[in-house]
Amino acid sequence: MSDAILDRLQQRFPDDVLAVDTYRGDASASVRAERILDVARFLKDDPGLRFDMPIDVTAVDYIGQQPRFEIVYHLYSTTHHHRLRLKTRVPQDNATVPSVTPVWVGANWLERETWDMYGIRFTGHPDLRRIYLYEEFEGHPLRKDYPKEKRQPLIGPGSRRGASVGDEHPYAVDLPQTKVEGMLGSELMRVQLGPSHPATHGTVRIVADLDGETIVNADVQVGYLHRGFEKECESGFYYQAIPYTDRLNYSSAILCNTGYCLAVEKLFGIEAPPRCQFIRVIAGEIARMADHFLCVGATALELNAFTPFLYALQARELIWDLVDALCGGRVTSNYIRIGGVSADLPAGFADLARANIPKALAQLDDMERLLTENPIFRARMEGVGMLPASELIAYGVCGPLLRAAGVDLDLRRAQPYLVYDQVDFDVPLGSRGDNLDRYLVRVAELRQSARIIEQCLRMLPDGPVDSDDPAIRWPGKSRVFGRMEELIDQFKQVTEGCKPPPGEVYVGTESANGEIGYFLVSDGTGKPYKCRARTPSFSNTQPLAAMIKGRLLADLVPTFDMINMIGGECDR
Amino acid sequence: MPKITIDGHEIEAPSGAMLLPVALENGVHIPHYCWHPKLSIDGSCRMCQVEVEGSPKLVIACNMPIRDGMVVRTKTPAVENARRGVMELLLVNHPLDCPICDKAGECLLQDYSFAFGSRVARTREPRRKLQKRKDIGPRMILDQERCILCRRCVRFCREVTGTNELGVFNMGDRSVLNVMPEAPLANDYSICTADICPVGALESKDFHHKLRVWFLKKTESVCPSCANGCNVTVHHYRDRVWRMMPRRNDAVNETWMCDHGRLNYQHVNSPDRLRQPLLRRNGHLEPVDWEEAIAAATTQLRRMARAPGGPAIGAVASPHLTNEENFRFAQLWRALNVASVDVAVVVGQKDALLIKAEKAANARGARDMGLLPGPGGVGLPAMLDAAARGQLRVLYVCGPDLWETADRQLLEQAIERLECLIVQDIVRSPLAERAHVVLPSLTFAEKTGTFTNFAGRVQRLRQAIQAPNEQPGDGEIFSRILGQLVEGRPAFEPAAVLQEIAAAIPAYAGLTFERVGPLGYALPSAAAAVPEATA
Amino acid sequence: MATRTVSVRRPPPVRHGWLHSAGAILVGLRVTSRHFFRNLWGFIRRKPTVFTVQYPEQRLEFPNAFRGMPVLVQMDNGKERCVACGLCEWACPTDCITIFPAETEDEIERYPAVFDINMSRCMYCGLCEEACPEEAIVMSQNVEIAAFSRRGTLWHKQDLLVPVSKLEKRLQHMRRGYDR
Repeated sequence: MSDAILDRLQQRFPDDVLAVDTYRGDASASVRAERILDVARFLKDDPGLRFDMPIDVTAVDYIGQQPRFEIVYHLYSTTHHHRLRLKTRVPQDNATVPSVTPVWVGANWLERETWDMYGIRFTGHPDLRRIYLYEEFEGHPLRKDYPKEKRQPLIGPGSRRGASVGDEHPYAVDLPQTKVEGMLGSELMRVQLGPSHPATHGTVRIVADLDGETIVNADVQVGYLHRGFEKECESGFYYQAIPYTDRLNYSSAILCNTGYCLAVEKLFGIEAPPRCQFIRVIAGEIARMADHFLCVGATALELNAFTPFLYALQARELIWDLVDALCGGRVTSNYIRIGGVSADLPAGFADLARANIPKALAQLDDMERLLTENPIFRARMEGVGMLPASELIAYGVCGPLLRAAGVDLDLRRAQPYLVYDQVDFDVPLGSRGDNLDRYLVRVAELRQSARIIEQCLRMLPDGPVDSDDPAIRWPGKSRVFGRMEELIDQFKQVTEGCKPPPGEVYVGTESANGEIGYFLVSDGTGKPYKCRARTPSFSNTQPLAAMIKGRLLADLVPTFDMINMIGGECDR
Repeated sequence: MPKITIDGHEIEAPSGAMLLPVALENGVHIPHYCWHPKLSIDGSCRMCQVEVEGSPKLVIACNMPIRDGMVVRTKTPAVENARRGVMELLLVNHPLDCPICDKAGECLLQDYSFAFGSRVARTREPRRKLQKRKDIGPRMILDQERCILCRRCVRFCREVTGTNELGVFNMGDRSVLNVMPEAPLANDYSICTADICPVGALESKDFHHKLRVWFLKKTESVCPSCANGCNVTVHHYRDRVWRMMPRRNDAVNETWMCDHGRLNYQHVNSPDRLRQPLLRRNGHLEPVDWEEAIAAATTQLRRMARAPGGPAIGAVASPHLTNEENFRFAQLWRALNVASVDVAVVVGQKDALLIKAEKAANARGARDMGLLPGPGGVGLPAMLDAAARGQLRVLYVCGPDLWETADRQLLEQAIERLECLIVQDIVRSPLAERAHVVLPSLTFAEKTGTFTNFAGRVQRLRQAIQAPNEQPGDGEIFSRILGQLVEGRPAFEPAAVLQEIAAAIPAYAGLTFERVGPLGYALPSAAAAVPEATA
Repeated sequence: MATRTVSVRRPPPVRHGWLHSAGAILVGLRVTSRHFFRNLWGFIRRKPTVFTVQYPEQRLEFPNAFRGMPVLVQMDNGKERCVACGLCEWACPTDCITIFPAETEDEIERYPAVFDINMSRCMYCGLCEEACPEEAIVMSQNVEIAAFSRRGTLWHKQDLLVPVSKLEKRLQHMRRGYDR
């Protein structure tokens, strides 16, 4: 399949495709920077390719090489369910490339992030400004010559450069004033939701221009929880990145762990043993349930229905008891390892799961009774926050948000991984794509996750739970204490890390909010050269402004909640 | 030249060479323990076994002379099996000491076991019990259980130092490494045995249980202790120097360095380091800021430069400063027409191996930069005479060597008569205690520059650690003084100053940092070297 | 694999009017009353069914796998089992462990003269426990580690020592858990 894509591309652009690759099964093509827009249009429009979804735009800094920067696009086709990695190189002294926003509107934020982190200019971008960092930030932090410990000059009130208290807030200057007049010839009012706001769970700042109660224009500003995930992972070993992946989607951390470890295993070209794969699926589905419970409950809370929120938290506590028993942490799990899991299922786990999950689902039943047919809930959620499915796809939206609009895209079904191809489950789809559909999809997915867990517990095979290659997986603890070779292997693994062969891979898995993808570039050492996490919340939050345009201010809240923007995932 | 093929790659090799060094030089990493480029061939470890076409059994690469047309394979199942077998047998009796052994992180046993060894231990029996933590010399510790009997240390003591302290006693299964009775491992190069020991059997007391090697950052430099200029690697972490190890340079020190030089890094970390300039006020030294100190020194120099009868200034250069710094020093005196300039250097014992008589790395370089008495000027000890007689009013002394080499009485007399004694040193030495202006100096580990060794080889140092509070280096200090006395302050950037040197001094023509390279550059006029001082 | 797509069933359109609205209220009240009376009955019977745990009078029991604060295992002779090998220091992603090794005259020749953990940096991931080759540092079940000052979050060796008898469960879990 990868070869067919690359052949077609090469046929159409014989002089502009500089190199193609199918390392570890990933179709990858390098093209000339000037032609990127034509190539993008072809990839989207050609009926055999139909790459309608921009998954990711990022860059890699090959310092010391000429040209220095490689811009990497990951694309997906929702009709053919195939992927492509498109790459192009730009030199340091002229780090510009045409923006692909005319082709995929979702590249907007992704290109802003690449500008912010690498300093690559995208010509033709409608609004190229920093997205995570503030405008006064000096430098581009993901460049390899930007030291991790570098300090920035102070800004803000009290600093030498900052505004003093009472001045116009210095960061409100971004949005241009809209020239539209309000009704009765009045001026528009600019309000800010956040970054510290009880209804936005996760720090985000929404600057909205209001005409009365109607939102005329909104700018969603993210990045308040940006902690430098990529830079941190680049400065540590592969095994040290796993606790950091926990903190991406902290509501369902195990799913983030799994994606990362699958990516590293793909770099090695190995697969975990069957028992491990079943355990990973069980743990992942448990985490998914925790996330969906929180999302549904928090939405109810912000619509002033406090009781279903407490029911949801109670259900989540029961789920968390399972996660706790597995790995010792409820939120930050650090459970999955490269080549295995940190520990096998504890004794009595199946019984605990079979006791807790039905109780949690009973809580879900009560929540549904309170919410689904309730007129107030319906009035707030029905018909609110809709965008046509094609537009959502162009934004790169995925997960329950896209499935609520009726698009059949669930990676567990479309590109099965682990043992999802051995279990039966349904993929719920919505019809209108409004907030009510999103709610119903999540509720249905909760029940499907429980179904998957039950099947996996029944099908769980015996056997080793970790890969037996000591160059990849740390030796068993009881053996390290008393055996010479294992002691040495432990020492080498901890001090130098596992060393995947040089290459690059991308692995996308279905996390609670959509596709979480890891793009790893290995240079053969124990530290990743690039560790990119493509997070669904980031792409899902992008269309928020479009969804609430023309709606009332109050409609912002359920729409934002149903997007389920997890701050750690959106801001990395 | 004969051609051989290793793993499909054709390689040219000098005839008569052994297969192992040829492979290593061409990037083929054949694991080995007992072979060392500077020691005789032992052939005891059997780790370097490879397949050679035409040979029915595996051969050891260290003792296999190459033949034209030889075909070698290092990655076949037979080779892998042999390596696994050797590793397993070596580990059967190896103690589980990794957590407490200093060698972890640079241990060949760990590296090869992880890369070539078996995945799973097959034995659990208790290991043989031998002596651990055995004090075998003033600077060395031996752990007999860890020894894998490669005999590198035995050959070193026999062939390099000729002192024969170590030997393998008993035979077969009972072999054990030990010092000869009544002969501690005390030769001047004893710590080199810890370098060449592939495991943690021989350890240096200086580094014992100090720090894990994976924290250490490594910077290439030159040893500052004597005129030989052994190439070293400075190992540092968090702006402290933790140890020095020799770097291979076949033209200077092969792969060795003496114990004294190796341990002579403590002064870099000393808590007594001068960090702030001092000025004598009301009879005692007070800390002042840099501007004030430089201004005080400059004032005195300016005054005395205009004395009737010529400048009443004498300068004593330090043989520990780099060529670049000494060049700037020389420029300062030329600008002031000061001709009484000399280098003071401590002279001691030398030996037939590496240790040279001059106990500083750059005395030759200082002389090459022109820091010798000019026409009308006097050198040491005449300079001190002139000072004692009141003819010299200001003396600028760099480094601690003057205190050690000068006649103490004469020196005290000179200091009494001096109007201003400026001392630039790294600690508050006895000479600094008597000074009027004291300027802190930086050590070799904190600067980039070049040294010229006794044989006229220019070698480069790289800065390993950062002095706190952006303390200026010696070159920077000289530049600031020069800038206050002469129009236009020349900034001090070592690479740029080296180019100035290359332009000004014929013997150093064409020299740049790149050209000096990691292994140094022999000056063309090396044969006409300035004779070194002898004891 | 038998996955299929299923359209979610949207509820019938909302019917307005005060009668239906009152009905909706009653539906909600039915659910909440059921919970209320069940909990009330639990209180009356003195076997509470509420989910709430009256902390700190009541405390939860944590599972064996639980990762609380890292502690050092103290052997029966009062000394730490740790030999300052430095693997935990190196494995820690947040660099919160500081170890200064030193020599002893005992049979075990190496020990940590300084073993500090900066608990405000520690993220309780457990990589230190996983890296340790001597079973000397384990994750305890202690999470009550608030301090009144920043300095109070820096734990020294003496504060971290816990007798091995109290840590048997965790050690068992480790040995069983991390094995293949």
